[in-house]
Amino acid sequence: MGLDALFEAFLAVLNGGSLLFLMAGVLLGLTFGVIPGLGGTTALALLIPVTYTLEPLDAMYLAGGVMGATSFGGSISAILLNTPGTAPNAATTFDGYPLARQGKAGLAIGASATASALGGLIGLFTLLLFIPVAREVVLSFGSSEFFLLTILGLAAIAVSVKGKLLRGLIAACIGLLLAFTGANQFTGETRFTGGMNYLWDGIPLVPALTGLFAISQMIELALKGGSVADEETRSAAENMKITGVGEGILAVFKHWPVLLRGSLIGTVIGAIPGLGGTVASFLSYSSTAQTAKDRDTFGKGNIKGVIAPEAANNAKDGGSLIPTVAFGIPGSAETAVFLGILVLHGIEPGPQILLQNEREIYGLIVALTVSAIGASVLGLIFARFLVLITRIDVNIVVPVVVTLSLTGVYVLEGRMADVAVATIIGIFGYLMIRFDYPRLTLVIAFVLGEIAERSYHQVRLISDGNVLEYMLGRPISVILIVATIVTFFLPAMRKIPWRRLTGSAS
Amino acid sequence: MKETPQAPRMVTSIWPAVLLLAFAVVMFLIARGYSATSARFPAMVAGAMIVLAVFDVWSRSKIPGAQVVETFGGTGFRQREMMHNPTFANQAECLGWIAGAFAMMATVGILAASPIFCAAYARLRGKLTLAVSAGVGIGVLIFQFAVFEWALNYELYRGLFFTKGGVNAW
Repeated sequence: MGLDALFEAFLAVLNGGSLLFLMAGVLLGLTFGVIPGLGGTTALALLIPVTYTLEPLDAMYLAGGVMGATSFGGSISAILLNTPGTAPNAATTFDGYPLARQGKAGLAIGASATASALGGLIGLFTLLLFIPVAREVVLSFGSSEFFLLTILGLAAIAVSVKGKLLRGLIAACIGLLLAFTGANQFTGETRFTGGMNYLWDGIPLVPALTGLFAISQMIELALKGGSVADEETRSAAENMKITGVGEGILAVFKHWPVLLRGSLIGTVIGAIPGLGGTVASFLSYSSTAQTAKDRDTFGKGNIKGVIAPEAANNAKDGGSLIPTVAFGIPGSAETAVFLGILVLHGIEPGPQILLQNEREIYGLIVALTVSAIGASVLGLIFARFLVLITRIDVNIVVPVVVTLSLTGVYVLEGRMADVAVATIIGIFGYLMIRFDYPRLTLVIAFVLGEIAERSYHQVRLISDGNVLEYMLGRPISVILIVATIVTFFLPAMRKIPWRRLTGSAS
Repeated sequence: MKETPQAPRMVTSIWPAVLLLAFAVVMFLIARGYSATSARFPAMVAGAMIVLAVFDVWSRSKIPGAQVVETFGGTGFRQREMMHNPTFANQAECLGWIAGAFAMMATVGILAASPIFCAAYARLRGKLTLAVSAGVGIGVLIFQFAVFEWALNYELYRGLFFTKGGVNAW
């Protein structure tokens, strides 16, 4: 069944206009990746309304094109401008920019493109291997496990938002409370609507996502202001000769252990909800630099310092889809917005996503595969042109993205109230950025809230009110409860000075 | 992410946590007013939020134990998402622009408001030249018209002044 769906998705890309959607996504992803402050999540949030009129599979191709291309786009500005396009590309600047300054920009970009493509493919291959196992696991789940899995996912994300456990959990509570707005699915009673009929169906997902990730990001970018890179760096980048690309491609194959290690780090880190590409790329860079014989040359233009973070950064896409497609728990902001696109096409997020929407999931995997290669090829061809995009003033980007986002939100349902919701949530999202409450846990709780409540009520009905007793009688539920407790207490336990305690005891 | 040794006072102050605590209390009280089944989950979540917000307030205060809460609860501000520290006036102005964009769309319609907002923002806030600002506005107008009104044959909102039903039609 899985192979059939995969084959069908590949054929669909080759037939008809799907490839055009994919390539449009790749170009958009490269563009949003190159411009610091924008990134894949903003691009996807902007795209949600556009996908409304598309077939679900075409929507997957468009979204997959963006998701697969953003990382490599960000590496171009990291190498040529010393300014990472997206946060995970920061590790690439350490050796990428020194290489460019030495006249080896082509070498660095060639290596980055190849490491990105191969890293992405390794991550996706791992995902494909994991899917049959995940399907069996999900088939053995009941309401109790679905509920506990949601709680575990939220706990894992809150814990992994480094240094913000408490604020992450508070944000998750806000997300859940927002998800409960509207008519209760069991009783029909309306909750938290303030008497507004508009809210009977709950807070709509797309305006909420657009506000949280497009509008709030633009407010933050507007306040940051300034130009992407200083004029001197920019003109130097535009005059750089991009030669030696072939050498860069060969360098990746020459240093294949670096590629492999980076890809594995990226896949594993990506699979842990909340960690994301920044941790993956820095971990990959530091582990490569620490174990290399020529470690003194890192930071001065060592090509392995480009290969390692780029492989990890792209491999994490496949990894982050593991919790998303297996259990319906988005592992990153990007996959949370991607789930929003699925919802728009009538696909319900949650653990059964893999069983009921195999076609779309394999479509996304195909899109990411083609996108990983396509982005590298297009990026190599248009690298110099893409750098010119960073010339665009922030004061042009901000109003244009804001108006297009709000227009897109309106077009979806033809309701101005949706535009108002996107604006309000956008301002609220900015306040979350400002006061350092992670938006990621809020949006994931918002997406999963309805499922969590429904599963909980189902467990109550099945267990005749003895929820805990029922859960403790099911082995998988017990494992999930233990995993949730460990997830919560592990970061705190790490901070206990065990050695000092045992020392004083002895 | 870079390490930030000191977060702005406004960010670390007790007030954001106090506001969230108040929000959680209000939500809890509202939730308690619903029937048992409808209230169960929201009340649980709001209750949990009250506890978490109390810890948040505690970690920001000078009450004894605040440091322990910060260490074990992960409430520090060393790895902030927003590294820069804009002034209050600058933030208010920027939020005003965003609210203004919505207000303009609501009153005169999306097609008219979009180019005006883009051009005005580029000119007044961005201090770009008149030609560039006008170019941005015209570009957005052409895009909105060509994609939505012409290609998709979709009539964008015409504004409260030009639509029957007023706010009720939203």
